[in-house]
Amino acid sequence: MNEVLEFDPGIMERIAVAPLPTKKTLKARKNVFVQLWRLIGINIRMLKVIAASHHR
Amino acid sequence: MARLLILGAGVAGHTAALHAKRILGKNHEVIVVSPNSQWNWIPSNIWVGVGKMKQEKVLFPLAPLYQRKKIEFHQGLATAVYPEGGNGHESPYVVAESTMEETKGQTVEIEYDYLINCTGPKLNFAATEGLGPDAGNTVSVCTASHAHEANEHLQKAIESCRQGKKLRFVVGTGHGTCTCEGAAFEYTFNLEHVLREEGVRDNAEVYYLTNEAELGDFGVGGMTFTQQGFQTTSRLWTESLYRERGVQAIVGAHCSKIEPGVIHYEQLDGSTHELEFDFAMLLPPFKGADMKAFDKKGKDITDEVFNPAGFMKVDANYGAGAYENWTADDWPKTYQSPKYDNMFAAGIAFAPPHQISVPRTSPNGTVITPAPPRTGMPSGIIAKTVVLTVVDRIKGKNKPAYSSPMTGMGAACIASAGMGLFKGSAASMTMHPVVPDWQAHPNTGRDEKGTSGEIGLAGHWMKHLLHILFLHKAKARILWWMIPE
Repeated sequence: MNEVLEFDPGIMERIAVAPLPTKKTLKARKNVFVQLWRLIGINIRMLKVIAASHHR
Repeated sequence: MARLLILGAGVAGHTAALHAKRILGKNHEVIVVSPNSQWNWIPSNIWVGVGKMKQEKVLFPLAPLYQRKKIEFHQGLATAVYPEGGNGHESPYVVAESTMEETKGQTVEIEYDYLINCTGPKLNFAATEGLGPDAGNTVSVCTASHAHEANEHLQKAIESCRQGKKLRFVVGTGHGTCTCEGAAFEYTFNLEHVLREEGVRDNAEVYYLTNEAELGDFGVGGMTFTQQGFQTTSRLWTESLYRERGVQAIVGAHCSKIEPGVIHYEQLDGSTHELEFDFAMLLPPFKGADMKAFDKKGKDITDEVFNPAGFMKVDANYGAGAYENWTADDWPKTYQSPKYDNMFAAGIAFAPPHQISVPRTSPNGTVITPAPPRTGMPSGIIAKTVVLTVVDRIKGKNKPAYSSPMTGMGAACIASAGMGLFKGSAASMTMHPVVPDWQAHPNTGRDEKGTSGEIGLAGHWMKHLLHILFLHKAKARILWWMIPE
């Protein structure tokens, strides 16, 4: 396999310093109770976008 | 009795057909022409492509449904439209070539009073030499059968990893003008998720190769979200995910040729490179259906009805010119043909005025810019909008056409990042509008309250819920019409 990292160092540098989620955030992303709450939040947001998007 | 002819039975065409029949009832004819015998919920092809869902779960046959709904169905490919009639036809008509095994190649001429063109994309694998399942070098997830085949290749690659081989997996776009970067993003992280589940992640290098100039562009010029009191960009947000999941990226890339195990690509700075791979899923660019148009005397008027890529011209401003001159007003509102007022286009079939992302060209003159996405939610909304206009016309109501410009329309996108009831994950994004309107929203081009993004298990549940709901809707089961597009 050839090494390609040197072809696009800019993007690799950006990824290397991108902020990582904390352990708390990673846990919250998998926590069923937190995510049930987020599911409601996502639904509300989506419904708002849908309501604002239909024909006039 | 009026005849509404709908070309295509994808998200736009099928939505148009069901709503038109529901509203028009028995007194008017709704006819669908589609080369495919089955309807495909394309967003779930991603899961078929990593072996997490059977092909049958994303498909169902159209003919029995259309028979139940009293919609006339022709399984065929529309090849020509005669918007002024001619050749013995008083009314406009379309020529379609059968794609059924028993009548393959036979043509039928179908007259119409109103036409909605929802022919969707032609998967243009030929744009890049060696690209796609037919050439045999790369796989695709654009259709259910492609996705099924992709999974067969993936399982073999995983088996090799299990035996200790170190492999390179490349996912992305197979040409500088591809769209649907969101699908490539989804496949990347589903693949990475599966590699971890199978315990072979250490033996796998995962690359995302894209025509986006920066990560998080998604063909819509990126997004700006407000999170915990700060504005953040989809760029930073996606870069964070790539770091977290150990995925490497190559951006601003145009694949010029694919050979067995080698991708040749050019980047925005004009440099050319070769990327060796063991498994590659690269999406093709899209073009419009290869449909011709003729006037009453048989003169070819294809270039007046369709743009050079085969997409149908509608009420957009196609003369906007340079990026600096682009405005929200360039985008179509009614999706009506400027030449024939009984012809409309919805979904991918309409010709966009220009890209949404900033257009970029390499020093060698190669265009490396995502084409504007107009699949999924926008596709369905546009189809319903057009149907309401056509219904008004059929019923003789003297009202202006309904309007749904993509500069006023939002979209919700759930990008799966791994499947599993408790281990799944997805990026849930909303944006409003799809096409930034810098006059209405000078800060970010979009409504900050309507534009958001978050990652988590809830996104996966939501995507699965959408799979169930949209199949319910597409099968026209009880209260289907209450499910929004």
